[in-house]
Amino acid sequence: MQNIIALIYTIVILLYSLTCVFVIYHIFKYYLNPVIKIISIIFFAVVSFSILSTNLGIFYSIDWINFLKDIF
Amino acid sequence: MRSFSKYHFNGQKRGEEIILVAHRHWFNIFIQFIYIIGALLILGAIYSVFPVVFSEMDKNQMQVLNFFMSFFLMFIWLFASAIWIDYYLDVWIITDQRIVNVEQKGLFSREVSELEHIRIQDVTTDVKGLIPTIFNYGDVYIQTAAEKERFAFRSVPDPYAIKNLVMQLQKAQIKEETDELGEVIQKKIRG
Repeated sequence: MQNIIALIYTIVILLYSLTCVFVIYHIFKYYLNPVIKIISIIFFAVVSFSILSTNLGIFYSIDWINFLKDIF
Repeated sequence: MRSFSKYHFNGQKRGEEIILVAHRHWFNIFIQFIYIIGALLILGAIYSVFPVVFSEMDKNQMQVLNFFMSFFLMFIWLFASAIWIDYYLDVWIITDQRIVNVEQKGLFSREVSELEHIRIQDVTTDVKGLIPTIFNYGDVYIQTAAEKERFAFRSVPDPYAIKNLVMQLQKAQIKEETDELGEVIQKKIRG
């Protein structure tokens, strides 16, 4: 069960990362003002990475076996 | 008027000067961001209410709650970013030679069309409703000489100023073309 959760989580994280790459690509390629472009890329990358790393940290700190035992 | 000298777009010609860059009015994105604000408020309410209601939650269960909160936050952030990209990259660029309309639809669809000032026949503005009237935003339609379809600026701020600008540029370009034609004819007459 824990492996299934890890697998689903990995897929979701990959999708999240891929979408972030697409957003950065759009900002990089299509923003008209070069200064706003750089600021936006930095802001987006920092916020996205912060949320992702927080989520990864929490995921790996959870005792999933005990939690699943409580539920089922 | 604001300077756009540092701006550059794909396909910009050498010596082509950007005169105006118009995005949809901020109220348009504000309406879409209401859902994001609502989702964040719900998330905040759950985060503060859950530990009080389920006071017997142990540390591990609290971590699970934190995990789901940050998990939803990730997707709210992505959704907000997609809305922003759709708004900010949906743009109308008025240069001294033409109008470029870039229509961004989500992350995976982008349509670019352009229209030279000389081909403009008629410009119409349409400000409909209470809020557009208060905030002074609306649509600008440009009828072209060659196509039946209208070129549209949707929900742009100050549509009357945009209309005036387009008309001025069209007149200037017609004058320029007429002068050039006059010079050619004069040269021919003089032999």
